[in-house]
Amino acid sequence: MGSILRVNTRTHVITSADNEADPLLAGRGLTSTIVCKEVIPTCEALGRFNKLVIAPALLAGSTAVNANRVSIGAKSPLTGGIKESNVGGSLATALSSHGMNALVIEGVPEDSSWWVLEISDEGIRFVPADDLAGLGNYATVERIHSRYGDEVAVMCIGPAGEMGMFAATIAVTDMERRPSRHAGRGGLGAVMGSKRLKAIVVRRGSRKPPQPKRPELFRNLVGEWARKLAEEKRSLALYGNAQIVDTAAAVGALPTRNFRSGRFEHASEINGAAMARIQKVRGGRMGHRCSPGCVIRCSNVYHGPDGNYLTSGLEYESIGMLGSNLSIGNLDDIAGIERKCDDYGLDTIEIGAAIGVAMEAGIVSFGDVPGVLDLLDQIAKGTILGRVLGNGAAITGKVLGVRRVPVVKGQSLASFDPRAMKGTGVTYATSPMGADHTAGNAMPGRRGLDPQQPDVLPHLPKGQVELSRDLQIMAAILDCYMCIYVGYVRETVEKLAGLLSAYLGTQVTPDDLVNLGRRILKVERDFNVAAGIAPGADRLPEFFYTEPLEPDGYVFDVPDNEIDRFYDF
Amino acid sequence: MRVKVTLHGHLQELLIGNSAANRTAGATRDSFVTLAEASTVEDLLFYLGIHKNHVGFVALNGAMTVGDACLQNGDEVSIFPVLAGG
Repeated sequence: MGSILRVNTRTHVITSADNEADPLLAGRGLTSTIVCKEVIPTCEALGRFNKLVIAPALLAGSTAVNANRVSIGAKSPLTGGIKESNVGGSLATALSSHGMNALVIEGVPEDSSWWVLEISDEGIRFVPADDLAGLGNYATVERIHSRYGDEVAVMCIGPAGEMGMFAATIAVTDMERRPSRHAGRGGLGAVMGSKRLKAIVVRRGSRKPPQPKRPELFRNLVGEWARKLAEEKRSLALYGNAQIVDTAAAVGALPTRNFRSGRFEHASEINGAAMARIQKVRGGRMGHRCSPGCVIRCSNVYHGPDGNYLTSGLEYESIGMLGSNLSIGNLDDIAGIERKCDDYGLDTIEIGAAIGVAMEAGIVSFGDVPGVLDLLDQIAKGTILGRVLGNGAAITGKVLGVRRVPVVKGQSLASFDPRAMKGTGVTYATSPMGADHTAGNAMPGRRGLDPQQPDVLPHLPKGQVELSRDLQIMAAILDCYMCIYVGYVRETVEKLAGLLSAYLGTQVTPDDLVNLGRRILKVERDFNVAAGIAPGADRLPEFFYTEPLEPDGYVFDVPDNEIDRFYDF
Repeated sequence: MRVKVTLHGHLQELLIGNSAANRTAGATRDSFVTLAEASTVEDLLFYLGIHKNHVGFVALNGAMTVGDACLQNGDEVSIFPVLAGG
């Protein structure tokens, strides 16, 4: 049993208690449980009653593969509902080395000073950090590492989080100490900013990593799974998830020019093969691990035209939303834009959607790279236009009078057009997280919990609600234990049940995990309903139902009455 | 009939040295393959020597298709490996 640590940012009182929750609850399961139990659903998301809950995955720090994830949860200022966003990097291992199952940040301070929360074997303390205010994430972590040494893991916010913008992220350092991994969605950086925490710095503790109850079985299961993943996911190590550009383009689902088209004329210049080709020449790399114990290695280190480091973890969703969605067909341009987002602490998905809406309004033209870079600088400076964009696509659409705004429950869609990938559309509509592909992405070829079920064709409405439900259940399970890249498939649930049984020394069945996934979705849904988000909000924006997607002509036609039965389980 | 085949991700590596197509025609990322009339997607995978366990999905002329779909002369087929996440 680990501990739950509570830190009050108003009083600076720190308390610790044993974690009495169900031992299967970790990561998202634990953040959502704590938020549901302790946060008043109707509270002001940037006010004193909201809590920022940080919980490593259950097997973080063990020898399990792809297990060093950390979930961050709170009430979202963007959606007004519950939020969990998980991230790799070095933080999960560091937190688990202190035996911490969750760190709960409470209250808001009465003055406007900035603080760093420092966690080490010597204890936990607040350190004044006004000197870090206004700095981007890269300068922030550089200064922190020069102060604390290279071994610390850091989570921090950039200017967007300091200003309380709803598209603000929380950055987490990767294994090379770069703030390139982000708990991106839902404006959690603004929640951290409201608590006046610029950064949390964790020095590795001396506590022994968690030990499985049946070590030999655990070791064998881990080894077998690692070998299988490394072989099966070789494409991800070679080409990163940027190859999803090809997947989305192949079925006409690649958002282009603010979701007007599903096919982009420069798709082959921004895909995984293009990135691998460019980086081979420049000394960057594909097959990068973002966190310890990852055998899939889907991340990358992107060097710019000058051969120097520009960014890392340049992912498909950023490429789609900042690239094709803005009609930008050059990877260097996209990488430069993404680097600024990482530095300012902005969700690349939300900002890509917001700028797409601004382009539709004529603020800058589609394809205007200097114009986009200027808009990002305006966000960091906090100009009026910058504040509009930094608060996301929904607010941008309202202010600029645009009606084609790709959001659900206030949060932007990710880089999959729901007219061509209808199961993902159902997930956007129904997830308690708002439009979030990671909550259950129905990529072509995916099946539900029954591997024998017939293929669900992404452009047809049949079977999409059932598929989305199964994928959302599996995502909720995986978010407690592992990176979702291990695969949303029945086999994963079975392997995970075996691994957890060996770890905990008690029998955990696949059905136990499926029931856990269902329970998590239900408590999150209940929080949203109590927060005032009515079930009627489970709809895509109207234009997806009425405007045929170019060039294939698809509309979103999953019947409303089927979507309304999503939570009948 | 002749169809255009595009292999994505690491599938082209599986092909090399492993298939009738490579041995007879020299496989590249984009290949034209000649098949018997009324061949299906599964027939094409068999011809290429790609086991279906390695295949995430197959797109036929810009939309996902199923294994028993019949191919026609001039079709464009894209074959994708199993991915995850995203």
